[in-house]
Amino acid sequence: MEKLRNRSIQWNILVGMIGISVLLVFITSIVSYRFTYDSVEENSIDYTSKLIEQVNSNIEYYLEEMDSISRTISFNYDIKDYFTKSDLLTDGQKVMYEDRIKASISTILESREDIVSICVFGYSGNIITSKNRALNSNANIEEQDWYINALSNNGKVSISSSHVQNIFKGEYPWVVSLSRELENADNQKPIGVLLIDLNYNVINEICSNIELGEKGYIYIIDQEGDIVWHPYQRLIHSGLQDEVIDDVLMTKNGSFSRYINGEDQIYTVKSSERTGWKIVGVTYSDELVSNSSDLQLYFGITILVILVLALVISYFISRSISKPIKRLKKSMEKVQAGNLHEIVDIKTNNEIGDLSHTFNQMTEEIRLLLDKNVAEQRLKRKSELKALQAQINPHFLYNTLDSIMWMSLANKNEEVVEMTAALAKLFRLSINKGAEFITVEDELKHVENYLIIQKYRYDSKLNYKITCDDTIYRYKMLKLSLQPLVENSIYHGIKNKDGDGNIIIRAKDDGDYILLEVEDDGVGMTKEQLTNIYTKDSQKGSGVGVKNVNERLKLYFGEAFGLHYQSTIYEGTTVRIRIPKMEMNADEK
Amino acid sequence: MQMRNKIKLSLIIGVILLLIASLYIINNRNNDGELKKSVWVIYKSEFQTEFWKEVTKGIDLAAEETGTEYVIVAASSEGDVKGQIALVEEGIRSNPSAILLAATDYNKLSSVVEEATDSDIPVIMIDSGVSTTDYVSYVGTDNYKAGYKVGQRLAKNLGVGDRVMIMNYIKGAQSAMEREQGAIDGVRAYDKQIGIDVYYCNDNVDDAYAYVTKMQDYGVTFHGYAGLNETSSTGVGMALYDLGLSGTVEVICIDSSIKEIELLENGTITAIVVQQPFNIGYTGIKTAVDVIMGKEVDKQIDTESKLISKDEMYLPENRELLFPFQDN
Repeated sequence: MEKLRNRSIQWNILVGMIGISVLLVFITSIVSYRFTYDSVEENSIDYTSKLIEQVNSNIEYYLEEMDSISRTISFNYDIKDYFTKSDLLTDGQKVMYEDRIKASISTILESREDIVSICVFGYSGNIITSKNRALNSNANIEEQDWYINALSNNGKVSISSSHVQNIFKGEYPWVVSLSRELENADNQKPIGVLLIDLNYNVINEICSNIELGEKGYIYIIDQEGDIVWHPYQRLIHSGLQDEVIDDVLMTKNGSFSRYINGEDQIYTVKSSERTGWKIVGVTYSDELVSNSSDLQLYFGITILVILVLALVISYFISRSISKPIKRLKKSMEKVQAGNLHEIVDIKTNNEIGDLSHTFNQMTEEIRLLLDKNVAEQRLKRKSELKALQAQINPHFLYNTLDSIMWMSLANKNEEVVEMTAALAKLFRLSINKGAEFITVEDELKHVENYLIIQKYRYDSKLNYKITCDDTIYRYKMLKLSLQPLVENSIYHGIKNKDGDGNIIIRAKDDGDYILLEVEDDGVGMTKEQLTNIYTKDSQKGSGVGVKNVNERLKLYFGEAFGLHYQSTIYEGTTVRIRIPKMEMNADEK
Repeated sequence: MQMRNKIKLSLIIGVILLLIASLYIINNRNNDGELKKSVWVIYKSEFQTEFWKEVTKGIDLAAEETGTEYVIVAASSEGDVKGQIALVEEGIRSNPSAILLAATDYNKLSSVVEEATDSDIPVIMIDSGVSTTDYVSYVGTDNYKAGYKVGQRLAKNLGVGDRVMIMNYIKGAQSAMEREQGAIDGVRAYDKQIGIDVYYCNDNVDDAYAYVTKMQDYGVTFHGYAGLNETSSTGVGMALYDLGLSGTVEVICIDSSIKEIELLENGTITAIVVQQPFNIGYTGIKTAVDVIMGKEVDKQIDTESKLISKDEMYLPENRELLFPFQDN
């Protein structure tokens, strides 16, 4: 299972398809072959049964015919008379009877080639035969099977197996003997035995033309298991061939199979009631489904063809799946390596196509985001630079140094020190080693230093106050965000005011947020000025500050966190900053 | 990736080749085992006795079984040695798969047999062999063994110092001499110091008949008689019957005939040793087919003779040997 999971899709599809196809074909082939074979075997046994039944019928019919001939003879009054009264007859009369009897027997014989001889053996010792031949003195008639059987059969016909007939001198024909006991006119007393010998060739003719496939054949055995007729009886009797006899003797009517000499054979048996013979049909199993070995070969080839097809089809299917996947994989690798312009060119409408489409969209989004991020970063740098630039305002510096100079000339040394120190601190905090964020505390200090300096210049015209909630000192805020607002307040609000101006700076803890306010009671702004406050560049080069602060706030904290101006003309202006509370990171301190 | 594709490609090609090969095999399947088999059979004489009719039946059955074609040729009479030689040569020219030959002369047919073997035609001797050993196999009755059976049976019930007459047919004939030697050895096997007289009747019934009667006239007593072929046996049997000696002496014969069967039935002949001509023909063809198929065969194949006494003569296995079917 572990191995399976780790193999490529292509491999798994291939193996799976081949496995299923072969299994299916295999099972189907075996089942259908078996079915075919079984039904053909059944049909064959059926056919063989019918065939040997036919043979049996033919033989029985033939023997029936002979039986009726024998009955005709047995009804012959001449015979009955002659053999009953033979002791009482004169020689002349005997000859007369004999002639008449012989005449009636020859009429029967004349038309037939199959009857070899007809004889009547009287118990009184008289014998009449159809042949003009002397009898074999060495043949003991009363010991012969046909004679004995006739006596024990109650006047019914007995049929012998095939044998050599030796009752005539110098003649030894092969015959099948029909014998019956004859009775006198009253049908009370037996008078002798009638013997009709049939040419063995009759049986030969009935049996020898039967075909059961190329190798199959039929044969006949009698009740004792001796062969009546067999196409290979010479071979069997000389020991060159064997034949199944015992199992046949045990079967009345039916079939069984045997494995002989490397071949499967089917034996179908029919017992004849009349003769006691058994007629056997032998068929060879490998002939049943003719060319069964060819059939097997065809099945084998079908499997091979299906295998090849399975191979080819699965190859193409799996390729159609894994190739685009591989392409996708390659593109992903390229994106991973940094090429965000990579587009996966898979246009199919299936799941893989969807996947690729989604992937392309995702890559584009990432690219856009990255670009945006880069743009943002650039903007931030630019803004910061601008802020810094604004901060290092030559005018401001020049004025401040001027003030320091005049104070020095006026020997206001303490003030000189304070102002210089404030200036130094101002610039130190401005630069702040380039970091974006600064604590609330430091930013307030920064704006305080700025106000200290400005106070020296504006004196009583400028009053300020800075308050801050204790809890928020350590949180971070954007540097250089208050100072430009204060600067704006001074130059646009207070400077042009008649009388003194006040600026209050508040920093408040507002739950998850920090609220910063710069409030002045300067001249305020008209509605028009309010709306333009972010767009106008200031004349003195420090109006950049407000726009800059607003931009930077929005950049760093989000669109919702810009400046909020409130102003009433002639009364004052309040600007608010709201930022989320954030702790300073270790690397920002 | 390249490697994988190459493997797959070669796999597919391999399978396709296999397909083609199997189709080819199917087409040729039906032709296998159809190796041409045709056999040229040369008898001793055009006129076929019962014996040779049986040989033919055996050939026919074996040929049918194995799908072999055959043709039987012979000179007009058994004495026509030159005629038979010519037929063998004709056989060689027609290039059959094998030749079956019953030689009319043991010595004179040798060189033409060698000629056939040199022409790469397997020769199988049936019933009568030749002096050369340059043939594939000899299929027939072991005459020596047949004679031995006769001798053994003859001497079985005799006493020490008894005397027997062996009636042979042609002095110098290969089969005759073999039978004679076998018979003599069979008698001697008992170590009863039995006297043996051998006489040659020149294959003449009357001659044999006359000799037996003559010996009887001279008052020479024989306690047993052997006839080594049909004519000699018939002569001996009839003589003994006419002399009224039936049943007083044991008579063992080789080869049967209707007359001999009569004599067997009436007790004059004690037992007959019969050959199995059907087997000679059948085994002859089967051996030829084996050789053609490239199998190993024995040099000497004995089709065996059988000793049949009066009690056994009507047993199923013996009937066919004594009473061959008459074809209508």
